[in-house]
Amino acid sequence: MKLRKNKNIIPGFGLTFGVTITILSLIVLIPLCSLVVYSAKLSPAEFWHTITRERVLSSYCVSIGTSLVAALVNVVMGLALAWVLVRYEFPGKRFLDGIIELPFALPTAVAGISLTHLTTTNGWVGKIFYELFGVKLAYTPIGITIALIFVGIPFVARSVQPVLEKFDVQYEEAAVILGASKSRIFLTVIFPEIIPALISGFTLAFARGVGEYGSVVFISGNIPYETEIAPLLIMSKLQEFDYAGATSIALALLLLAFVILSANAIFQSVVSKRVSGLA
Amino acid sequence: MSMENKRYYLELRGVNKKYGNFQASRNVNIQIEKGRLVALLGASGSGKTTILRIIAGLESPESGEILIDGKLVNNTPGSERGVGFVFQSYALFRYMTVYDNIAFGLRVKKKPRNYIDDRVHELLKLIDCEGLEKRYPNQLSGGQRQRVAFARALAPNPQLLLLDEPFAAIDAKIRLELRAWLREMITNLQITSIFVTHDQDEAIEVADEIIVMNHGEIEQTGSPRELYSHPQTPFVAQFIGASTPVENYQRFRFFQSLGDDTTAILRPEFVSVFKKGENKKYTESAEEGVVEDVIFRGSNLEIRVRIHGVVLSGNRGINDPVVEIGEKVDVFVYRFLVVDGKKIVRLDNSSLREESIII
Repeated sequence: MKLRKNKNIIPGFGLTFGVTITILSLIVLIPLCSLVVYSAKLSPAEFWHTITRERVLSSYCVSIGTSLVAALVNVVMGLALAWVLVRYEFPGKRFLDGIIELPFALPTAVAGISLTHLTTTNGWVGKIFYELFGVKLAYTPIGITIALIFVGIPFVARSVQPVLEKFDVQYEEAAVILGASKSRIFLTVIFPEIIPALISGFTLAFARGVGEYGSVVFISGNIPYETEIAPLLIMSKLQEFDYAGATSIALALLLLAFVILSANAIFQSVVSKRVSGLA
Repeated sequence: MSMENKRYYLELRGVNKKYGNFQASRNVNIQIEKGRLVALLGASGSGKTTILRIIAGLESPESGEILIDGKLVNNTPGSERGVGFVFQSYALFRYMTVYDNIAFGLRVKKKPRNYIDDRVHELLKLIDCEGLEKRYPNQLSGGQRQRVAFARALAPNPQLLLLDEPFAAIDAKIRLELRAWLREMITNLQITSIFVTHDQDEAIEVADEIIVMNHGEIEQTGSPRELYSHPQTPFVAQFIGASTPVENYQRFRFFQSLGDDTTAILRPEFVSVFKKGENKKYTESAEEGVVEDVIFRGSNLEIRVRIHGVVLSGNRGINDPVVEIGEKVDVFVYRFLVVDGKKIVRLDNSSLREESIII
């Protein structure tokens, strides 16, 4: 009775909700549950031991550290990229706009191989850095970071772009007439508007970086304790048929991703409440 | 020379502005005295907002001069022209509280903290929004937002206040209150103000002076009363006040002809509708018409009468004897506004003159 009273006037709720739950269960929830089930084959002590082994811990550090740096770089680069694409007219703009998604479309292994090629001490870019600054790019955490920047840049650019497009010039004009300088307008008027999109782009890029495998394995060199990333450890466990071990490490990664994404979701809802006037 | 140089606070001389092929302003000349409240009135696309933006320095004209307080400001940035601007959708900064919004212009000018605090509270009191300083713009009503936008523009003490369609986004009832409020506020502050509107009632009610614009040009400038009773162009005659176009007005008795294919504009105030025998004074010169419709307008009745093949509108009081649809009535037309080329000629009923001689 109550349901009928509150019947939504927008049709199709039953159908779309059913499809959503089915797809979500089949593709997301059930595989994730199987992770837990597999890991549960280990006793809590074994589980804890598996995920806190020194080699595993240092792989987490490598993964999280490089992803964090890469996501931060992407925030700056993605913002600049979105800014240029929204604010200015220049020849080749549409082309540039089109190739932003290339890192999504390209098989990550292809990206990994070509980046490795460029950044080894014999490669075009790696050579310059090695000879001028004595810095090795490939087979170091710097190389991993480069690969993760490449993979993550569309996230930030594409989350900020629509926000900037929607941003009304009236706000800037109002600030200009009140005498604000360009940097002040950017920091106090424009920046607060794009922070939610920036953070959302940052979290997506970061979460993707932590889980990234294909583009990183070639460039990282996979030196244990130094450039070995967590997803690679999972792969090697799998190759050793240690499924429980692999899923345990994966479960820890999953928890981390969940925490990052939830933090973002909470932040977004706080901000949107303020703007929609419900706070 | 100095005699004719009357001191205007704002002057525009021969201003032209084009957007691509679209001529948004054509040879615009405006002179506004200090402390006046002026309306820029026109339909959408008539170039009124462009003029406002040119004055504020948000657009620069292709040619022409802008003078504020006698100084040429064409090359002065908007922030140094001493203007405040209230945007149509207010453009309040969404992520700042009411307090921070109002304080924005003062902080930019690096005023001392105490001064800013006093000024913001003074303005909050002025706009009747005390206690709302911690709210965000989206937590305010439309009227409050408009007043906060007003306060933000006023905070740095501008000498010239520009308002772009200040009442457009507010619902009808509050709009009337806000009009009165704004008029009172601006009169008290003695700040020269220009507001853009497409609503003739708003312009007539609020402004001391109205500039009527059409197709990027100024049609006429004058007080609301002047524009109403002495329109100089057909556009102004039709745009200001209610009007019915009448062709072949010569068909009406006591009106001399000013040419063959001229049309005239008739306002409801120029038409009196009497029941047969109700009025003695105009019986001789009135003509007979048939009531087509009676429309209740709240404070009066609009009577639509067919006479000489045209339907005219006239007003009758609520308490006057009732006229029915289909009733034969006496119709007396006082005056036509005759369109003579690009000019308007006021043509009075000639029987009025004769009668006044008799009396």
